[in-house]
Amino acid sequence: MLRRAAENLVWIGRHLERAESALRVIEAECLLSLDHDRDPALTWKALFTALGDPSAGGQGLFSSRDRAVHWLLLEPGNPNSVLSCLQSARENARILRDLFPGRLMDQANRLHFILLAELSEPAASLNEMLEELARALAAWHGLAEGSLSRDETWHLLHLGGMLERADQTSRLLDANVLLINDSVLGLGSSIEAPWRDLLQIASGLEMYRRQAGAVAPERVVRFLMLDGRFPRSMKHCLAEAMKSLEALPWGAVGEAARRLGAMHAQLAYWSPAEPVLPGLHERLDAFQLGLNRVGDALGEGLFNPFAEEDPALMSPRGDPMEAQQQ
Amino acid sequence: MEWGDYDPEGFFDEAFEAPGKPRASVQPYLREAERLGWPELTRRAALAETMLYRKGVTFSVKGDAQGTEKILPFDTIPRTVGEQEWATLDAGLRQRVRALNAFINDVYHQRRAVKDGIIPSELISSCQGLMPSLQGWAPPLGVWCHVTGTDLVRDGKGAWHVLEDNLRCPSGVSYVLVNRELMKRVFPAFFEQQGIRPVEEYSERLLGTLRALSPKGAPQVALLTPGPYNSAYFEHAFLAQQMGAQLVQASDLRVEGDELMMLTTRGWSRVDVLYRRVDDAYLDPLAFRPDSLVGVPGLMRAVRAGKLALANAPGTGVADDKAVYAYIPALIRYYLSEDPIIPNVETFVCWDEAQRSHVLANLGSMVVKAVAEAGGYGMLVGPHSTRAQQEEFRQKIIANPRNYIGQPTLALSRVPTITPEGRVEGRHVDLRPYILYGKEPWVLPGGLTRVALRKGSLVVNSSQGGGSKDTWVLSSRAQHPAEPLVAGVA
Repeated sequence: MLRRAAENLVWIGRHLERAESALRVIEAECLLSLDHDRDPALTWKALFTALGDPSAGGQGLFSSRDRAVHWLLLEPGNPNSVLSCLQSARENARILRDLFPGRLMDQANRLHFILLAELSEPAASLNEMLEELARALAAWHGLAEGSLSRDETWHLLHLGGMLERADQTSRLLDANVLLINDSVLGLGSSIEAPWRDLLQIASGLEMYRRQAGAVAPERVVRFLMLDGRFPRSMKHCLAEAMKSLEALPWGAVGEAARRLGAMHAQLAYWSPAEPVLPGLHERLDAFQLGLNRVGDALGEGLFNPFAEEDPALMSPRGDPMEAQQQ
Repeated sequence: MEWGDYDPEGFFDEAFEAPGKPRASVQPYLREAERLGWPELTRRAALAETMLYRKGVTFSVKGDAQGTEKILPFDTIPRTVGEQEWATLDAGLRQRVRALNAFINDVYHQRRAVKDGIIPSELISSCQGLMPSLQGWAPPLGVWCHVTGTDLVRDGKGAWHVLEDNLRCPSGVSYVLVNRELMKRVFPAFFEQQGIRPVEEYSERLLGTLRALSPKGAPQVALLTPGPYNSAYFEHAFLAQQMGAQLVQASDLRVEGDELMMLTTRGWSRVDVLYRRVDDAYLDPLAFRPDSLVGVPGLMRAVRAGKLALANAPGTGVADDKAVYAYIPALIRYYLSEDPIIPNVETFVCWDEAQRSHVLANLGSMVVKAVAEAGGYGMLVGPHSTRAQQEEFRQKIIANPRNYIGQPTLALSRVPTITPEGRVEGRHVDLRPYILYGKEPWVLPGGLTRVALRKGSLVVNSSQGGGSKDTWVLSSRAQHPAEPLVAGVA
């Protein structure tokens, strides 16, 4: 596998996961906001903060549902919008199409065309369009699962997806902390309501119920942070990412694996006696910082084209097409 | 019924002898097409187009900041070539490629053909594609042109001619493979009605041709692309995918000692065979373009040391110069002692004074081409040109006669084609078969039929309103061989 391809593969995994996460948020929030009499502006603000766009508030996006949804879904100027994420994923897949079975590439194109159609002529029902996108994304994962050899291509895609998913779950948890601190709950809402919503957004309500029964803040946080079996829990994502790192050339990913292993150990050996709620925001902050440091280590070890090169041998090498056009 | 109104309009039509009178070779197709009915036929044609977008068989338009993607328009009415007719073309193409290869080898060695007066020395030495630094060098197996695309046309009487040879990086074969897959998906019944020779073995054959260039048992094969913004990137990635070869760019490569290495996740790793889809000039700045940063410095050193096989070999452009083209029939006789099976189009080389006068006197009726151009650029189609354009070419020819040839304008054959209005009308076509040459030449049955979609146009290039069709080489043999797959097992 070419070193150049490795970075693109991780980004495909990341962008698909990020798009899926944004879709989940939009879908769930549009439904939930119909039930609760809480301030939608504050809810969107918390979600935007969690999804990495706190500055978007300056553009008055929180004031209306349509504008907030547009920003998260279709705004090309938002690098984390579903549109932006799926476009970069597809472009990276196009560049690497030699690595994929044809049907997988077809599916990446299909995602693109669903959005293209929505841009030129918005669907009458937003929910139907979200449903179609979510299904197309699920089909991509299904095709990948059933047709990709478990070689470096698979593990790099999986690594990107799992790192992103761990990050997204931690951000959603953080958004909830923010919401509660801002006391946006309406009079009719219970203390449990935002935690139940959180489980909805994380597609984990049913799994949580089977395991832990009634919704209680401490248990919800434990479930999303520490559960070893729920596929979106932070611990599970880190364990999956570790497995993929171990299948990659150790010389290139060793440092990333050491950093990730330490983070995983912290979650895996969490004492049942120690509560998770106190200081949660700070802990999640540290977790996200830790993930960034894993990303840095990957950049140093795996993606850097000059990692092993003698500096004397480094030479700028251009793209032949660019030069031809000059 | 649409087909009943079809009129060849006095051209040689490959499907109809006369209005309402189809040729025998297309009758099975027409029977099935009539059974489907015209509305269903056009509905499925639209479906095929959608599938091209879905498959991402697109290219981005040069200079379009919006990143608009286009497909090469695909017409679902196939072009049919009879079994006997194809046997002749197949033999003629193999003959031509053997002669072209012998010529290239001769150019870089003794130049016997010059000494024996077959082709003028100055014509060779003035070729843009000549690489003087290769003098005396011999490629593996003695083969220079591993992949050739030789363009064929049929004239007003239906006779086949070679229009030009493409010996550097001929493109378009991915369309042959994709078009066939679409046709089989959209019109499966057509393939049940008659024997049509399959094309999908091309990738396997290409891989075999490339692997044969290395003495190793399991050589590392890579395909070199200029990059994802090249208009042929789909083809590069598609062929790499089909062959399981590494798709590389110059920035992934470097030469260490005499070996070409690519940077992988496990460090630098040796490449043994490089199917390069970039021009000679962009291969190695040390060898060809000292002023350029493009390419892989030292790549030619690895080639000369025998540690890297290149397909096609560098320097093959000397044989697809359009002035040299005029001498190919004589070169076939000279090297092979055979008569050419497929004739050239009559060609006037402007470098020769008498022939130049003929071209200048007939600019209004001839096609004039620049000798080293491709893609329909640098071309004057006399009958479709203005006085000003003819004058421009007159000046160009006088200023640089070596750079131009003239040919009579052919009334290219036509094939029924679906128009944007949903009717069926004749459109002019050419054919680019692909010839692989490892140990022996092999011709992909059929090739890329390019069609000039604009009414009356003779220019089939995709950059100028061209599209493509599936090419069916008919076969009387049963589609599935009767003998058991494993000998001795019934």
